[in-house]
Amino acid sequence: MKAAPGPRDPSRRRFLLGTAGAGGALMISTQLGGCAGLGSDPPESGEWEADACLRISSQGIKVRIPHAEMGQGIATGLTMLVAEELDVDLEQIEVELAPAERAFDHPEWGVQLTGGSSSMRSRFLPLRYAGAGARELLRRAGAERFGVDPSECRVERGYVCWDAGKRRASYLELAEEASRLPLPDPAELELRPAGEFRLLGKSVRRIDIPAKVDGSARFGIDSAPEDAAVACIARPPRFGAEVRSFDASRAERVPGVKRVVAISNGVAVVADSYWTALRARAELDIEWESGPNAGKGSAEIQARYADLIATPADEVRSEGDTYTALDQSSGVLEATYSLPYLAHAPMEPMNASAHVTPERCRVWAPTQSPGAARDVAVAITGLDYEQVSVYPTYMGGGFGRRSEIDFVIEAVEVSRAVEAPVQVIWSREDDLQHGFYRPATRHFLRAGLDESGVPRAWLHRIAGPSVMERVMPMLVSALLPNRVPRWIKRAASGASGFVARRSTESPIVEGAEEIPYQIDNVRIEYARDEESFVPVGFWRSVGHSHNAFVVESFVDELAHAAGRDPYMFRRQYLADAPRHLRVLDRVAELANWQSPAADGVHRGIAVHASFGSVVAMVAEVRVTEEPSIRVERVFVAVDCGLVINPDSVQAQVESALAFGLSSTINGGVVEVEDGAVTPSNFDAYPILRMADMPDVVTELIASDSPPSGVGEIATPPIAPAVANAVFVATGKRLRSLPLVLPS
Amino acid sequence: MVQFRLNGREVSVDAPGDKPLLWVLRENLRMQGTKFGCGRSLCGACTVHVDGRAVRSCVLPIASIEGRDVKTIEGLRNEDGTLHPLQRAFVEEQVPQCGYCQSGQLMSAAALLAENPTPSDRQVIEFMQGNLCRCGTYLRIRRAISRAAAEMAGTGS
Repeated sequence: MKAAPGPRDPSRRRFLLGTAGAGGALMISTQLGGCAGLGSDPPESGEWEADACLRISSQGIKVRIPHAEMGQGIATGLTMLVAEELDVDLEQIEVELAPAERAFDHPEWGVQLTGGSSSMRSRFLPLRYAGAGARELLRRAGAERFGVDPSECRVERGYVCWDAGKRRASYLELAEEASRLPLPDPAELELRPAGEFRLLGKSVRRIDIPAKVDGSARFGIDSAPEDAAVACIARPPRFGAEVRSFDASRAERVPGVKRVVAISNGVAVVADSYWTALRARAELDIEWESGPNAGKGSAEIQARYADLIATPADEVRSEGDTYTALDQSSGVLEATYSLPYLAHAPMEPMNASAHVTPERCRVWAPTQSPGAARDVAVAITGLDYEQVSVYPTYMGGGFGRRSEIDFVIEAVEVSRAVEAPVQVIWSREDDLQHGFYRPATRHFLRAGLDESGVPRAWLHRIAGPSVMERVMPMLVSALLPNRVPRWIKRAASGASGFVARRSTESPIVEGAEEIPYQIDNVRIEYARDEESFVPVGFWRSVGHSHNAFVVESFVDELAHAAGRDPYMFRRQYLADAPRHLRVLDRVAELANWQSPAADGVHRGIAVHASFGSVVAMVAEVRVTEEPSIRVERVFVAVDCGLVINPDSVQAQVESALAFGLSSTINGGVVEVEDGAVTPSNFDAYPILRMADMPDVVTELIASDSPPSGVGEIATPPIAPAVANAVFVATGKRLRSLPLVLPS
Repeated sequence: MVQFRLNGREVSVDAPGDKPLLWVLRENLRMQGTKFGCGRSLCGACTVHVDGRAVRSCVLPIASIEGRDVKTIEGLRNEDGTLHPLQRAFVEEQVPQCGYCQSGQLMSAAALLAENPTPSDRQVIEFMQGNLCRCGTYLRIRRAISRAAAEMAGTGS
């Protein structure tokens, strides 16, 4: 993790800042280059310069949020940063979701994207500097008005005050004057010291919640233009299959159907309503090519993985000489773990709206990837970048599924074909069967212990498909043959940063590669499944979601094999990992680990680092007669650096834990048969219900480090914590998810 | 033409009789607070009240609504326009995350409290079991229901 620049660090210059004074408003952007020249006239309101994130005028203060608000509270968190530096209350700021603009690109990845639990970390300084820059301009404007030196003025709660002269003026009064002043030298800006924070670190109410309790919050599905038609799409019944021919005559006779058009991934029925389109879709007569994946399924995939992990594979990391050390170990432990494909299943099915005309393309979408959405719309329509706008909306869950742009492609293609505004809505069946799944993986582990049970060698071999291999074409060109010039250019600059970063930290091995325990000989290998055909993607916590289960379960196996307490065993080998040690110790205290659990309750422990943060958990589990696994309570200790909005972090811990628990007990599995996903709705793909939600006791460790990831970090450790408790309860080591006890 | 009461107003809708109430609300009447989640009465996102009972509007043909009394999230507020105690409690407990399932959660919870003003934890869980939340806000929903129940008991409303 990079440290925050010191007060005189010249690197701050890259944050700052453009200003512009359009229409009497002071506007600040956080990208070098300033507010002018970057692009399109913001078409709806006309009040924003394209790249501005902060706007102060006589009408008020506005902030645009460059990230997807999918319930993680980022709109509130990022607004807190600006409010802190401006010295205003959160309520004084009106918040909007930013449209797709290069100025809103992820500072590290060069593409406008929400993922990797990185929003707060990557915007922490830029948005504070934006607030500080505006504050300084306002202070100077105030000083000018009062006819005194700026050093005689201070700011307080939205006012510039000249104490000696007993005068003050509000930011709103001063905005126009401030907008005419030259930009302050970034090196002169002081951020508010942590000890003086008024907002950061205090639980504030999320700004998006009032609209989410009275039905007024507009999600993607609520954001179609009023006159939009609705389209349902018949997609291939099997991965890799294509339309051979189709007869739309019966579908076209359904009253309300406007058009039936072929698009790149199937056949779209466009109608006056979703209900009509859905029914008419069933009347389509489509002949599909059988494609290359007929007859293939989950069993065959796991069998192939089993072959792959039977022999040495590509080295990901190697310390010492693991194979020799294993040969020389007095005790060797071996285990095989396997994990299934999983679906995201966000509550809002995929959807997007588009209106393509010869001069203009507008897209309204619940997307984590407005940058890629805009680029793909440019590619499909052939319009100039400036003629294409993408407006992100609230979304009913993202979890990585909405970093994909398949649903945007569909909406743009259909609107272009029918030359009218169109909303594409997926059914739940579409959502579960045409997703981008958490990869199924299989893991071979072998550890060598010496006579006293000390681990001397650790071999972890992982088989599975490459997520990057699948995602890179989306980020470059292969998915969209014949129409990608700008995208390729972007690949050379912006997106490649994202791609390169994710490639070197290959998602399939993350959380396995960086095993924190002190073991002299460590070898991590990856056997890539080259025959993978199930589309895979980023699923909340990505590779950590499977690797934490495997690593923390197998470490537990070593502890029990050595006859040691699993907590004490872990802490003995974490001397090089002080943050791990700290959360582990804290969670053991919280859970009263050293005292016996209540009758019938068994405990399991796990610790895992992801996205720059570290989380330890103790799960309290009861195994009932049937037999079934009940998780009653989970203690959680979290080190996520500086905490911005503690209640939001607590909520994300509960949320990510629930997400992980959903695939640990009673959860759905994406089975694949005959080249297609079998579960189609929540009856066959159950997700966690209220009755299975444990009590969660969370402690956030105080930290002065910059903020690190929050939204995903509590997903990885829950599965191993529960599995380790089940072992204590039953003596059975369950090595696949979801956990199923033999009856 | 189907006629019914929606949030206290008489409405009439021209729609095929088998069109689900959910889509009549969302498309014909442009009331979009009620959400589509599964289409098969499996997730609870579309929960509304019909004659005071919580029902899944995604599987309810509009023809069956003739003459009945429908309440949606847009009509959950008190008659004086203030938030229903449950809505206030959901804010107090900071329940929603993505928020998509919350209209359904609130309508289910409101039906529960109307029928049983002092539900036990077990009764809350049993009643709410059909309302899925992928963000995992369940603990906070339970807390908010307790809070609202206590407040409603206290004020006698």
